[in-house]
Amino acid sequence: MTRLNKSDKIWKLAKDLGIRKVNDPVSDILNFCEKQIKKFLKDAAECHSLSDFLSWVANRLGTSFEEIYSDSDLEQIKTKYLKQREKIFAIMDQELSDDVPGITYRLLNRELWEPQFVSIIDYRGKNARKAYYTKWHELAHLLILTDQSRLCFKRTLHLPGKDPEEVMVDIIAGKFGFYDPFIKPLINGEISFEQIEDLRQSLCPEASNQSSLIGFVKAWPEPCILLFCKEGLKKSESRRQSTQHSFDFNNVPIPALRAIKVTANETASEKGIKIFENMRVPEHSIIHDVHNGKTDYAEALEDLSWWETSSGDILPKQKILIKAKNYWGNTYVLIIPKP
Amino acid sequence: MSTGARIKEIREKRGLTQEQLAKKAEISKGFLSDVENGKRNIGSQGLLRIANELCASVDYLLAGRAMETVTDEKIVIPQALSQAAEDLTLSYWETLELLNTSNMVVARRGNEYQKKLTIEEWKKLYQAIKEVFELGDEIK
Repeated sequence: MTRLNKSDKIWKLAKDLGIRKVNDPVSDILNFCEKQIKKFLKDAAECHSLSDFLSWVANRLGTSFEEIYSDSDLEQIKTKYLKQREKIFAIMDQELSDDVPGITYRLLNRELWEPQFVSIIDYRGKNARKAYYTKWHELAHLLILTDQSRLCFKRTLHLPGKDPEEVMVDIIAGKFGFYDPFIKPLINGEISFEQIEDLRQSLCPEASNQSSLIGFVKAWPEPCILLFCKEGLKKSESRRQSTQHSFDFNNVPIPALRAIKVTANETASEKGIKIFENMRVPEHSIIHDVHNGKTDYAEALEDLSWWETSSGDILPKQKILIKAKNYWGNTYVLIIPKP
Repeated sequence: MSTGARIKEIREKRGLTQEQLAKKAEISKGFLSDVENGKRNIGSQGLLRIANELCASVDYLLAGRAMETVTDEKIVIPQALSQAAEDLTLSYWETLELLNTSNMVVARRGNEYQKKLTIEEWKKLYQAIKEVFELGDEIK
């Protein structure tokens, strides 16, 4: 978030949204969105699940979802809107791809009572598992929709890194896709993979397992860190490997099990409990047992000070409970600090 | 006009009977009839289901007004579009329509930066629309 807070585009977005005093644009934009969401929820007393919440917010933001499961669905939807003289649908099929699973159009020829937008969600192939998050991504765009000046006349362009506004939209989507007022009342005890799956089933069965792990960990009231572990090289080794065509026999870097992706919730960050991305998994950790297939699940009390940075610094002493699980062939780990 | 009356109005415009709408929205026909006649109130989830089945906005059903987020933006014709329009000998209104069509995209989930359309891309967009709407009498 710190890097995003330095983006001119994010500062401009905050100003465009009419936020008067901008100190921390990411938090300020999130608060702006939450105000709108709370306003919508005032009229939705019966909204108890995240799926209902999604549907309600979509309608209040003036959009409806068209879901595409097959090429024939795509043709049907295209024809439906072309019949209504919505001309952009002439190129809708060219817009959707594996990289673009969702798109929202403003409707120009709608009836007064109809939503002013339509969000097309592609469920074909790999996009199916992203669909819940894609819907929230489209809604997040509408939550921060101002004029079109930052968007219009634009199409995709391959540049390194991600557009800061898209990163902001992902943060908004992550927050409201797993909005904690819906989650907290159902939390019962310590975080576990089973609890996360139960919550997913009851609150948002459409969400993917992976996005649920991230979303529920972030919304969890107690400190928790989620790791996705995989074999990888040190950053310096990867850099060397990409700039060098061959290594001396003795210098060939050996991949080690690392925390490739780290998601810490706010409470963990506030308590200063962190693991840095790409840190090597300690040799004695039970995470190796799960990763090497000795078992599908393991749980043990370990210590954060076992974790060492590439420069040799060790993390502070802190008892942690490790819950490691082989999920769909990947190793996921929940880290819970213990007194 | 009440919420119930607006539901009735749109239902009839959509060509749905009370029975059909009630079934789709998973409520009883009697309840829908009472709501339409202002005899009973409807909760948020019921209203949302009706709105979604009618493809109507909840805001409209509740208050009879359409939500609009259109701002009074200045019309700025990008240089590439201006050049494409000149090459294609488009009138001002045709150019504006092409611009409006392109501006229909308000959001997309993607991992990449976005860039301005080139002259060629504006021409392609124009051709794609023209093809569909020239061939498209079957669409009408």
